[in-house]
Amino acid sequence: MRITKIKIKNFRAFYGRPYQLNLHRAGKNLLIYGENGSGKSSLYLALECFLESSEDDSYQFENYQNIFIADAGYIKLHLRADRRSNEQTYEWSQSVKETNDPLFIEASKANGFLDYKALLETHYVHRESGIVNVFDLLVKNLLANTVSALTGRSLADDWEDIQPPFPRRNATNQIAILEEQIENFNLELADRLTELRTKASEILEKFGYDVKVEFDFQGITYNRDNKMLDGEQILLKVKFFDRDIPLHHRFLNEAKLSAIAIAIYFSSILVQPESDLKILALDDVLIGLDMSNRLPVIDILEEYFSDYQIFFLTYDRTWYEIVRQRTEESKWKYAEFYFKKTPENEIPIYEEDRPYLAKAKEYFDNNDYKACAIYIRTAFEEAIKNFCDKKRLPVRYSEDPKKLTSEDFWTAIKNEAFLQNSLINEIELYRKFILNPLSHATIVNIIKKEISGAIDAVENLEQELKKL
Amino acid sequence: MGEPLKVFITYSHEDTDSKDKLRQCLAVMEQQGLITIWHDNEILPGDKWYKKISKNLNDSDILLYIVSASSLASKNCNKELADALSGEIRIIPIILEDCDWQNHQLSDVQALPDQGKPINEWQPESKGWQNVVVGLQKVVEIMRPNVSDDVKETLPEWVFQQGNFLMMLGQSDKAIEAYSHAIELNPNNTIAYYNRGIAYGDKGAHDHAISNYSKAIDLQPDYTDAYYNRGNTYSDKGVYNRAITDYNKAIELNPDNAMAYCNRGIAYNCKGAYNRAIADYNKAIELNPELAESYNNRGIAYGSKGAYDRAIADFSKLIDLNPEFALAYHNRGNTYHNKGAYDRAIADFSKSIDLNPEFALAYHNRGMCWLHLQNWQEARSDLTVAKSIGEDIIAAFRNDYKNVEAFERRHGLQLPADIAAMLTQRRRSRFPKIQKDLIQQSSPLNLSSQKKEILSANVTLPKSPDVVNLLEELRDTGIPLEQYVAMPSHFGIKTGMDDAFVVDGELRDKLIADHSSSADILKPFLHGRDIKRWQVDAQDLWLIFAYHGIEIDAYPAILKHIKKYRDSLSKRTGKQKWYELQAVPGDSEYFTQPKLVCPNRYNHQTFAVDTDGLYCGNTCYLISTEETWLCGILNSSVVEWFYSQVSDQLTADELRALSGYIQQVPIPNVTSTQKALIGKIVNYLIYLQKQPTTNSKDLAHARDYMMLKYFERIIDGLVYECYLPETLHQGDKYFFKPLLDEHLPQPDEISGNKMSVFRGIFEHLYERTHSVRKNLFFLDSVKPVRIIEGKW
Repeated sequence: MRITKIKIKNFRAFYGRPYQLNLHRAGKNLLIYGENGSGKSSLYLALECFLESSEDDSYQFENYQNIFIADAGYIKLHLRADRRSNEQTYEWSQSVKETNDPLFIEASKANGFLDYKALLETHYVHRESGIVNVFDLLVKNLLANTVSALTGRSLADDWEDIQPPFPRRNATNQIAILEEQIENFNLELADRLTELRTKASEILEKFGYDVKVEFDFQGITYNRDNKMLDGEQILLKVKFFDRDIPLHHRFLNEAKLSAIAIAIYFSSILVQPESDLKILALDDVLIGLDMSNRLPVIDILEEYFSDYQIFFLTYDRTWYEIVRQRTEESKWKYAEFYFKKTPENEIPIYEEDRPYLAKAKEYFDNNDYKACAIYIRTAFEEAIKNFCDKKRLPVRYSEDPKKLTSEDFWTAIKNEAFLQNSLINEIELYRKFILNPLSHATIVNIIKKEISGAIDAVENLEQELKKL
Repeated sequence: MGEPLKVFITYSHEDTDSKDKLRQCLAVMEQQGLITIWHDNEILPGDKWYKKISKNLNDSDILLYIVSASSLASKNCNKELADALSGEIRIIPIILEDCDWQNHQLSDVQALPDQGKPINEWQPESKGWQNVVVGLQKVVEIMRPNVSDDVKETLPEWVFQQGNFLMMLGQSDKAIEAYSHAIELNPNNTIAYYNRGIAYGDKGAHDHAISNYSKAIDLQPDYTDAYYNRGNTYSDKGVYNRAITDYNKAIELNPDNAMAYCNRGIAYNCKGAYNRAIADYNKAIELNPELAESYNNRGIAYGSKGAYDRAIADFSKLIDLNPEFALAYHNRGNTYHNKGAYDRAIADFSKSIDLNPEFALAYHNRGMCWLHLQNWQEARSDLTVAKSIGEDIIAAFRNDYKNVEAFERRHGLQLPADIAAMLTQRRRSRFPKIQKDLIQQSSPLNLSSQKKEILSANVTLPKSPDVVNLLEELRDTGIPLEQYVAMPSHFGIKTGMDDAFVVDGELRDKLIADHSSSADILKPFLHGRDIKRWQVDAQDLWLIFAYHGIEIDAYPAILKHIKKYRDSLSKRTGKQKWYELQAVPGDSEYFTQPKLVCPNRYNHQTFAVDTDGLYCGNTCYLISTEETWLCGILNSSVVEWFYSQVSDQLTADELRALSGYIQQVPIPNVTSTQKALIGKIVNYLIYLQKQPTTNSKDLAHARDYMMLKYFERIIDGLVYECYLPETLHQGDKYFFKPLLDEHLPQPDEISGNKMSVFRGIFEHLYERTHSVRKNLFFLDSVKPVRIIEGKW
């Protein structure tokens, strides 16, 4: 089950006119660039609230409606089981609530929503003592919806059950019941942590960290004397070659802590059964990571979450471009949010991203040749790669298709003699210093005329390849 | 001609004119010397006058009692009259006007005018008086000493009529004496049995009433009224299935009896079968459009189903029929409340309070409406009044909404702290209890003895139609346990003194060593507290099975042992000899056969399978069956919910095994393959429950404990699928199919290390991708499951 269209009106930042996000019949993933406050987070919130409202009555549409607009708002999701099946529409608004369909109740348990605020909790380290208590993060957030095998209820409900008011001191029966509930909670959580530990360590490996995550949970106990719960802590421990690393050690910098948090989060989804509608929404969760630590995330998503519909939101332009280049257009939709000032107010604009060459021309017109060159090269690579795919041209064998270079594709096309020599020569000319992966370093010295020549050459190439 | 017969007249002051009229009519007979008015006595309330004149009374031959609302109202005087009556007086009630006594549906009451048609219904009334005179002449004729035997009234008939008269006066104890006397004189007096049944019914002695009706039916198998009244009595007792059977018979014999339809409707209603109830009310209304109770009852049934507009129409009709009927306004108000039309609800509640200023529930419900309208001041005042008149507003609120937070969340309100405190109790209960009140609501059968009607509260707010419909759906899926299991279920043996009769293994060995005969009556014993879920953890205890009629001398060692307790044992109540057990239900075979047992008090459903022939104490409840799978059904969350909804909770956290409710649990109709699978998982659980590691709460053994719990969850899933197959399959939730595909082994088929095989099965079924795990994980997306888990 995939989302094919999202329609939003008068929800948080989306006000005034109705907004529509098309995700194609296939229900593509969505990569969005947007500055802070551009509406990006409102989209994240719209999806999250839509799902949460299925289970939790405290989510009322009117609480999110823009109060200055009298016009009633809505969120509508269009879904398809696959490309061929019929599209179904579900609405959540003040007057209509179709979110209590089992589809969404189940999806909301999958807990596929993560934003940077949740991640900040792992950063909450007491540097001196080196203690990280992730109890709240796990019990109230990441594992909250997980269903206990012991009670058949969610961990959050089981936690709720052992909250005050506590029984009177002489109510032995009720105290016994409470203590049994606490034991069940402890056992379930301990078991969940074991699963989580294994999975999180596996994912951390993908980040290139050969560390193991451990959770130190001693169990909740009921303190009869003071009528309170003791032991509300899960201490995060990290082992490196079976040696404990103190958390104040510089080995665990900000980046590694972020990676650990993301690994725990991904694992929390992966240890649970999957719902029919699988959504993973990531709002700026990678900001704590430097670029080299972000790239593995793309591989992790592909390896573990290939059947999820991913909503990837970021305010980092460079990161956005990198992800865009590393993902396939057949599976992804790219878009951006920005604010447009009107005489009365500011409204968010949602715009689907244009082809690379069109963007190259735009930067050219703005005299940003460096950015322009990047897009020309990207357009070139995309064109030849897609052509090889389309014609199933034999390309040099490589175990990992991502390691293939533009040289490999270009050689294949040249060898098959599809193109006129003049066009080949023209491309070859620009390849040396513009359409070359190393062009970043040298591009500063390139003159305007050559850039425009490269644009023309790639445009010619695209047209020729399209005809074939 | 002999002496004139002495006539004694009793009447109420208000009927003095009628008495004078009567005397006028009797003047001719007096002149003829047939009778003489011996005494003419006004009923004087509060005065022990009957005592004073009892000689006069008992010297009379005929008592004429002028029946009117006011004479019947003098209960005390009537009691005195009843006490003063001897058996030798011929009593003739003279019916002035229509009043209560006819509701009793007594048979063969001789009264004047003929057929008990009240004088004020004769046109003109003088014809009625004429009829009285003619009737009296006949009586006087046959009372004369020289009348031939075949016309002469017999003593049994006199005694019987006296019973009828006493019933009319509301003196059921005395009436029972009279009827019993009549039956002694004529054991085939069908009507005397029937009328005695009614008298017992008046006293609330249901079992006696039922046996009398049954006797009447034995004597006369087409006795419609007896079926009808026996049905009413069963209904009073809460045995609705039997009640329905009787009503069916009554309707078959007399298809035009609107009340039989109406009362069958009530029985269906109490069972939660609202559609059937409504069909019966419809029929009753068709037969008698003026039958107020049918409208009220149908309104309640519609309301329970959530068909509020229809409910409102019915209550409005009821108000048309009787504009002074407080309850009708209340019930309509209640329905408006459930619809969310709070203003109208308040208007109706106010009207019902005007008509009955003591109507606590109406205050409470109006208060709840004010809460919705956020008029805190009015709400506070109404709730306070309701509480002061005796309404348990905390319990009512908890039953309706669980707690203040849930109420606030559901209705988007924020209650002021003081009101929240008024409505809050600290204890928690596992399920929101809504249905319990519905049962109270539908059982308020305010019977005027035999004419049965729901004319009392359409109680608390708001009945959740979802819960009601689900209960009905569950009931419709199966047949009640009492019908499914052939043998009756009941509690275990009552010793009256466990210290004397229950011994430990050591003492048992000693008793046998002392005399070998002891072994014959020392039986393995089970305490309720030793019953766990799935299996019993019998301690090494032995029962001295001293059944009634035992030759105790044959067991000298035992006798010597219990003699120590002789004094205390003799003080036990009951008819048993001092060395006998106080009560042994059923025969001893009952204990040796395979059975399911549960303790008499428990927090969660705790049924276990016993195949060891344990003799259960009276802290155990027994169901005699070989069908192990039933244990799975009875321990499931569906049944736990069902049971907690229909039964009385002992405390917030404790349930009680109550035969009447356990017997109602519907057993779903499933295939033998399905039964076998559930039975197999029950066997797993029996095995696992015995293992030390599954019971250890040590974190090191967490996985084994989880395994046990996971198999319980699997049972839950299977049982959900038994009760609600279509709903589950719509949500793509299957349990039987994937589990049958696994071809799981029976525990005794497993050779080698059973635990490691079970662990393997568990880990496999618990895999993230296994459909059983997935379906259990997402099970609560199905609506009925959400209702049962209190999430809807």
